[in-house]
Amino acid sequence: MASTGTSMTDNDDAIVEEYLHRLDVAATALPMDRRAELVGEIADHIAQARSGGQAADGAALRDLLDRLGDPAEIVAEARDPGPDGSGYGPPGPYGPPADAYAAPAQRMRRPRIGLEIAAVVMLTVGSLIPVLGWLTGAVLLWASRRFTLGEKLLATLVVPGGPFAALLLVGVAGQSCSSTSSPGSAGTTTCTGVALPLWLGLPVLVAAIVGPFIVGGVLLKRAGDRAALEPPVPVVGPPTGAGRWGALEVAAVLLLGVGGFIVPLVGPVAGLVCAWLSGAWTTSEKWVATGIAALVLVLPLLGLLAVGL
Amino acid sequence: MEPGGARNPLTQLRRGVLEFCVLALLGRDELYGFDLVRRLSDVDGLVTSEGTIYPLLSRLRRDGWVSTTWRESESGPPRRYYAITPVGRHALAGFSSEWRRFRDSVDVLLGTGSGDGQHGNLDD
Repeated sequence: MASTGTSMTDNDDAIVEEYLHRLDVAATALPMDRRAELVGEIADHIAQARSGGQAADGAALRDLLDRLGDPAEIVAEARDPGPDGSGYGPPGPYGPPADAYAAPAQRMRRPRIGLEIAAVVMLTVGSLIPVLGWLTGAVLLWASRRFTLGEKLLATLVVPGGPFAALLLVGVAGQSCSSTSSPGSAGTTTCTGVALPLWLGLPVLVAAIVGPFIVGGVLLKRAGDRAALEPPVPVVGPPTGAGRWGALEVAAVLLLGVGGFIVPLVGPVAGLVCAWLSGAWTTSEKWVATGIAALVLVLPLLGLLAVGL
Repeated sequence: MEPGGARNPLTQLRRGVLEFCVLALLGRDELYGFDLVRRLSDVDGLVTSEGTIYPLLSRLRRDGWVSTTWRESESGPPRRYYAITPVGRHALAGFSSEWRRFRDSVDVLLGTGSGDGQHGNLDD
């Protein structure tokens, strides 16, 4: 009886050996490390089943191997990059399709236009940060390869300094007059700054404020259309280490960190926009950043209110 | 790349969905390979050959959707445990909502929806 059991086990071992050998031969098509990993995992699977008494006799063992499947089929699965995933859009209210969960098998994602969005945001809203905001936008704009030279010139010239610089200019350089009168002589009126007649000045001002937003919108639309036609790009590993630091991430951290000192409210908000556009952080990480930023934004407001009261 | 899976549209569909089923299982529990495979194949019509789940797990690990740790087991060889990562959870959440839309649309077109009836069957 004991000898029968031993021979059965020997026979079972031989069947398993033969199966693993077929798998190993089929797996020569795989890179060395993945071949070893795959054969190791399948060997473990069989060992787990046998140690759990689930392949007690020859028939059960054959059933186990049948369920595992043909070695060639298993290797084909390891070779195949998987079904072509058209990237699923993210569920959240943020940004363009981030494709963070496109089929991992293909490890490809659609090109994103984070850089272009950041450029337009900084060229328009970012111009609330004097000089620096618009300048950052201009640098990002010219760094993009999705715009033509003409489009870059257009976005730079409409309007240099951004819409809020135009507003600021009116405030600082706009005409202001003061009158003095001294006894015995006629009063004099001194004026500083330049003035356009109202009928011309007002439309120019409105155009200078609205123009950049229109140009920005058109450019983003074009960048999006162009990006959609580009081939998918490989996904760059999991979001760990240095890989997660792109232009967008640096901008987000800088704006969140010091943006508030340059322009209260708008700096951190622009930072949050960059952070949510970035694919480098998980949603929960982004919410944490948003929560902290909201706290930092709300506290001074409460302080102001308290002082005001 | 053999177009083997293309013979049967259900094979393709299964392959696309299977990884999210893996993520869903791991979203509830950390599991070792054998246990995970058995739980998947206990679900009717989902897995045809259990062995193909291991290459899939390997891909999920390389993509950072699952992480693995080795643990000693009281009986038998050490086990490799799989756990879902935050990135994997994000992917799973996204797929789940997309899947609901997809399933409902297909049900409407095929006339297989019947809404409550199906859910009732699942509950039984």
